[in-house]
Amino acid sequence: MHALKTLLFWLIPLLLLGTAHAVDPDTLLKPEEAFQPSARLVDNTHISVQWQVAKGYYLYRDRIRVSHDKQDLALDFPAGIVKDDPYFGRTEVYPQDVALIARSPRTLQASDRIELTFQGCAEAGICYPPQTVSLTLDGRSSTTGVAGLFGVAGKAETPDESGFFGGSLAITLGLFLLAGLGLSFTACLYPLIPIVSTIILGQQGISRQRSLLLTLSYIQGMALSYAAAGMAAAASGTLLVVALQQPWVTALFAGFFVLMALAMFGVFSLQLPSSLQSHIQKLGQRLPGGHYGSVFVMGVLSAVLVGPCMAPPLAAALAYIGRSGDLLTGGLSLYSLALGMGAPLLLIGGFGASILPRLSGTTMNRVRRGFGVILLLVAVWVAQPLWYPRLAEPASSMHLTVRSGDELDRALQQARGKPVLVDVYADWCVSCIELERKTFPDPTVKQALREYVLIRADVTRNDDEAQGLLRRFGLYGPPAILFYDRAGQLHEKRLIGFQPPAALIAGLPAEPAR
Amino acid sequence: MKARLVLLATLLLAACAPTPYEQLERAALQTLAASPLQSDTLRGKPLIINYWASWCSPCREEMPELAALQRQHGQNLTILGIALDERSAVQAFLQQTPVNYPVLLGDFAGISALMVEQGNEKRGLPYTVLFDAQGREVARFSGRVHAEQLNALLRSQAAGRDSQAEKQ
Repeated sequence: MHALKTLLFWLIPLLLLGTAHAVDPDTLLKPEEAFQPSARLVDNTHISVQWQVAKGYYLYRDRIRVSHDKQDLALDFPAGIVKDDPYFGRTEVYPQDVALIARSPRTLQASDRIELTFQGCAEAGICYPPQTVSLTLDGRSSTTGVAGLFGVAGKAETPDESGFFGGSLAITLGLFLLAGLGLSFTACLYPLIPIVSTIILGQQGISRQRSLLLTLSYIQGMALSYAAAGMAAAASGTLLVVALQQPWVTALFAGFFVLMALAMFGVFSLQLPSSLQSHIQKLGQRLPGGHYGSVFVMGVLSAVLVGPCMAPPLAAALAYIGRSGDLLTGGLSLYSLALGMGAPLLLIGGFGASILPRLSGTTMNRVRRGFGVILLLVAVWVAQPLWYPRLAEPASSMHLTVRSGDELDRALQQARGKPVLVDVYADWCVSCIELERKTFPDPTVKQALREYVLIRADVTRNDDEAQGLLRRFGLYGPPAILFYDRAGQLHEKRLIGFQPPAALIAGLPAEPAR
Repeated sequence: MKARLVLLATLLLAACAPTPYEQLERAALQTLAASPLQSDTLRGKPLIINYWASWCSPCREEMPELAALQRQHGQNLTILGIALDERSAVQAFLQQTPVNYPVLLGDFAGISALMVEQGNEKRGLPYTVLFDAQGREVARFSGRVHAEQLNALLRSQAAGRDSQAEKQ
């Protein structure tokens, strides 16, 4: 009997222990899973050393050492993030994939080995002892097995669509709804806030219910046009996303926002001709929701507007729809996405209308002017593809530009024997220009790409040749970075969307041994 | 005959599950004063092994709590701090933050193996294991441990021992 009692005395705290664990050891990664290093020879004396750092883990900059033949190599570190450690003060850490350049005083070969020492922690409050790894300089990761599952091959580039859409329709749609909610907290939707507010603020003394319904109608317009865009892409296989980024479309929108801003400043009042107005008023009296139609159209326009900002998730969805031809699932998915995105706007709709009556006339004017400024900024933002390229430095000479499949083939033929990077680019694509300005000129990137032949596939014109290029790679639009190996074979791995320098370097395919 | 079988079975069982004392013995740890650890002296009372290092922020945070726990339980508890660290770094840290229990050093590979053997497969620090007076594992903690957690376990263990004593 007493044995049982003793057992119980032990069991009770053990049961409590489940909650007492500071860190759940089951979800914790081993250090070799949390930090996966690889090294690649850039040229005879420069090595690009990279770590893939798992989410929720970080490496200490000060604790990174690279040595060859027992000699420490000089390192060029990228800037890290300053972490305020309660004991060590401000220390620089790398919470994401990191790439640095090591300089060797001696000539090296890809088969040479270097030794890396590094140390990091989990945000959850666990630190790992210093890790020492010996690597060859051919870009291969030191670890296999479990590490292989986490994939050295681009984890962030292309979402795993098979898994994502594998579940039931309800789960898929739920996920899209959540994704939409998430997207609504990104800067993508900021331009929509003044629009919603304009619609609601423009109306004097409307009920909260009505303003909510108006906003809802607006969101429906947005959501349905997303659904339509998805289905249209599936049905036609045309480059919808690209078409919407055409300069004249962009210019139209920018102009529209400038007009709206001017109206807010009181330059003129946005009013329809009185005959038309009374006509609409009559129509409005007959239909309880006279304004819903216009607001709905506004929603449609807004969907088009924020589309390019959300290129990566849209590309994934459109790719899936295009491949499966499943119009219903695809359309509904994008519809859920837009509903999720629009949900926070409902708050603005309801809140804006209820708070306004309490504001005085001068405050009201100030608010209007404030919105005018925001609308002007939105106009500038919308027009970004038009002015941003003018700021860009002249197209870097390191790129060889091709505009058709034939030209690309010829360039690839010439580059045989060297690895090739193809940068799918367009003048009107903001992310492409960012790549041009921020990533390619980066010294670490330049080093890492030294051996590569850089080809720019320019699809600015969006003509048949350009569309052919995109179709050839199964792309919906720029930016995308593709790789060919020395034998002229296209790598499966590709990078879609803007890539900061470290991500680009980490995303380079491992070179098969020569 | 029967007695011999029982003895054999006991020995086999013991061989399968080495006690922490045997594990410590094999790791050949040394105190800061470079004398070997007398693992036999650990038997007969609860034992807390705390793996730490001076470069590990959560470790530094919990050590004063462990020292307080040792003060509170005095002779009825053994705490061992095992450092996966350089001797000089350990000495420097302990000068700033002295503890009242022994801190042990050894070669990294040996300590790492010992830690994995005692259940820390992920090899993260801090890591703390509590054994009862018979050397059976009671609890293990990945990450910062709090004195109350250990105290609750120690109290219930003492209560269990008392009730056992009453029956006898």
